[in-house]
This record gives sequence, structure tokens and C-alpha cells, in this order.
Amino acid sequence: MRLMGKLAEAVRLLACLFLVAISVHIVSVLSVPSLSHADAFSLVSRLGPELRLLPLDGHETLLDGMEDPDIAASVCSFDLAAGPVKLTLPAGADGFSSIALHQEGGGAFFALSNSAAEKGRIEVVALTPAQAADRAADDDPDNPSGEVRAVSSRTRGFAVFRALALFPSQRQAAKALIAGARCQHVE
Amino acid sequence: MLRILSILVVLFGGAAVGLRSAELALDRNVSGDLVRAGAWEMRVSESLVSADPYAQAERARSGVIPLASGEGFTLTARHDSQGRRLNGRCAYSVSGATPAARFWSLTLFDEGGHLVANAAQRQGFTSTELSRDAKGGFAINVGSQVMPGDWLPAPPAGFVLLLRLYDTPIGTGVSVTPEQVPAITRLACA
Repeated sequence: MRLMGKLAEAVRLLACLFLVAISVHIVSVLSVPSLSHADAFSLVSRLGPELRLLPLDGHETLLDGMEDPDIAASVCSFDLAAGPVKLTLPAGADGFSSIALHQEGGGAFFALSNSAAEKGRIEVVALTPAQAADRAADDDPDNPSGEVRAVSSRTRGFAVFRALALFPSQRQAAKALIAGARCQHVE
Repeated sequence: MLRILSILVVLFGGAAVGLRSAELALDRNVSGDLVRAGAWEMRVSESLVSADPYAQAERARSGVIPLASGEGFTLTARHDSQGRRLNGRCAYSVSGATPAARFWSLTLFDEGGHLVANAAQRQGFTSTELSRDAKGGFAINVGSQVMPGDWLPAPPAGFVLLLRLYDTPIGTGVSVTPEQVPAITRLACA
């Protein structure tokens, strides 16, 4: 009887240990994105001030893990609390270039490639849901702006501009194209 | 006294097991978004805001900026089509189909994730610079010894191939089948 009691106590302790382990496991995994200082947003923010276009030369491993030598890329971070931000990349329909918008905490909330380029550029306005509602209310239904809008659930984020050099001889041209990108606040 | 000791064991032991298991889970990429097709593996929800918690944690620790859905998609090969680890002491042919994409590039890295310097100054190919057969097919030869045709030099050690698809429907709910990805065929080993 005494042995059974000790066994039951041991099983109870093991079950408690298991429950504590599961709880700690779940809390640790869920808290990594908010606690990490090695996430992409933190790294991009440390490269330079908001809205400044920063070429990723020497920081290519920030991209998708291992650099593509045929890709030229630059980034700019933004804070939508100060107003919507317009991201522009002068790009024709030839070759490949793109704008991707990532939010703090991870994840891309919008991306556009040059297959959707108009008037020699790709352009997108990043906004918060409230700013998007204000902008939609100001829209003239008879004269739509044609503006591409991307709504983010977080105020802070960053844009990545990429251009692919189809041949090694085009790498400088891809870098020049990326250098023409702009990040600016708009009304 | 025994009671207090038991509570301490449960709390500290449980916390240690929980932390260690979380670390192991992230190190071993247990997130459910890893999908395999032929020799290639891919993270289907890597760039999504709504990625599963393990994928979000792995992303936050790695600091990488994955290609976004609508921008492109990355496939990785560490093994040949027969499941043998890629090694530059052997020669390989990468050929066959590629998933629908406006452009793609194939790049070679060492197992540490670094580009490999070589006399040919060749670390990869884009889809536009390959020689094609009459049906539009391609064959990239990979190995540490000079090979005819489109040759991608490899180090005489383990290596990794990355296939990046630019402007592709893959990643927006479109899956990849083994028939849609290039086969990696081992030719001969030194």
C-alpha cells in the first residue's frame, strides 16, 4: 500500500514536470519573435535611419539566407505612425525587379514585381488601416488615383528593393536601378 | 523538506526540459511549413505574416528576409534525387523542368552558406544565360572538375544548391510536385 502511494506520488510529480515543460516550451517559442534582436527588422533598423535607402552590399545574408550574386538589393525602414510612406522603384517591364514590404515582428504584408510596372516605375503606398480608411474616404470615385495601397497591421516595417541581373555583365546596371529607389512620407 | 525539494525539481526540471526542447525544435526546423519535392525542400509559409509559431520563431532568430509571396520563392537542395548528400567529389547534372516563373537562378554554396570562389568566377546561372536544347531543356553540370557545357564549379566537399524562382505563382497557395522541379542526377565520383 505504501509502495503504491509512493508510485502515485512519483507519477503526480512527473505529470507536473511534464506540464511545466510544455508550458515553458510554448511560452518560449511564442516569445522568440518579440524578444529577438536578430530578426530582420532589428537588423535593418540598425543599418541606418528611417526612410534612408541602404544598399545591402556586404549585408546580403540578410536576404533569403544565402545571397544570390545576381540580385542587387537595398532596404529602407519606415514608421507609419508619422504618416503613410510611398515606396518607388524606377523600373521598366524588362528583367526582374520588385518591392516587398515587411512588418516588424516578421512577415511580408505586400510585394509587387515589375510585371505590374506602370509609367516606368513600381510604386506602392504603405499605410495603417486607419490611414487607408482616411485615404479611401478622400478618393474621388469619378477620378480614381490608381495608387497601389498596402495596409500593414503594424506601424513599423521595412521595404526591400530587388533587381535581378540576368547576366553577370548587368550587375552594375541592377545596382544602379536599385540605387534609384525612394522611400518618403506622403500626405 | 522533501515536499519543497519535489516542487523545486518539478519547477526547475520542467523549465529546463521546456527550454531545451524549444531550442532543439527551432534548431531542427520542426515547423510544419517544410515541404519536399524531389531533391528540393522549401518553406511554404516562410514569408507570411501568419506563418506558424515555430516558423515565426525560426525567422526571428535567423534574421533573413525571405522572398515574399508575389516576389519569388526559394527551393534548397542538400541531396541528389536519390537522397545522397551533395558532394563536390562527385559530378552531377541538374536538368529537367522548373516550376513556372518569369526568371530563375541556380546558385551553389558551401555547407556553411558561403559562395565558393573559383577561377571560372561562376557561382550560379540565371535562366537566361543557359544553353538550351531544341526543346528548350537545360542541363547544368556541377562538380569540382571542369565539365563541358554549362559548368557550375563545386568545392571538393559538401555543397548546397539554391533554386530561386522570381515572379512565380509558387508560394501563393500553389504547391510544387516532384515532376515540376529539376532532377539532380549523380554522374560519377572521384
